Amino acid sequence: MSFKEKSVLGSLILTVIVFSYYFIKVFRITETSVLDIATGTFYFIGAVVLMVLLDIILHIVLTISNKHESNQINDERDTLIELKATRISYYVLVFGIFSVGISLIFSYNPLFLVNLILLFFVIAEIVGFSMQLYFYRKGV
Amino acid sequence: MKNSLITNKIRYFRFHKDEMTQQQLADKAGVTRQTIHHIETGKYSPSLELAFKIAKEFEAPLEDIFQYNL
Repeated sequence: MSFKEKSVLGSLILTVIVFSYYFIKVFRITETSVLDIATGTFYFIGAVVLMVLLDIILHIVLTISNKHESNQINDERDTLIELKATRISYYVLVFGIFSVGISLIFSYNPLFLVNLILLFFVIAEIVGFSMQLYFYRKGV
Repeated sequence: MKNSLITNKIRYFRFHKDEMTQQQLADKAGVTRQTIHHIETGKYSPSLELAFKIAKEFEAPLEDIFQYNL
């Protein structure tokens, strides 16, 4: 497995773990009580900071263990894979935004809607990472 | 992902150039070893620029290395 694949796989795993924990926590709170803005913001910033820190640690470890490959710049195949994966994740995000728009007809809870948009954003990211891995393995 | 209609003889040309490795060719063409591997196995069609770089490295015409099969 190349450095790029390990990097994408690591980011995928981190995104799934960190944001699964975040969404489970936030939606559990909304089940039992009302999620206030301060708590919601605290959990969101916490998740983002944790994600960034873990991603930095992951890439430091990957760089140390793959010194030769980590110096390589993105070549044309990497760029094409990123573009194709981004296009697919964009469709997921657009679908999500439309779904949130439609859900406004039935209920209006700003904090819930923000988290719903964030959920679709995270799903789009996960799809993007997964598609990158698929293209790296199967060819583009 | 289906293989492309473009085939190539990079493996053959590498062998006849002092058994050049994929990494050596990749370094000269400015791409990763994985990209050369995917081109050789038909999983990726290189850009015209990269195809010319590879042809230049082997000092051979482009059509000797890459073929388009309808």
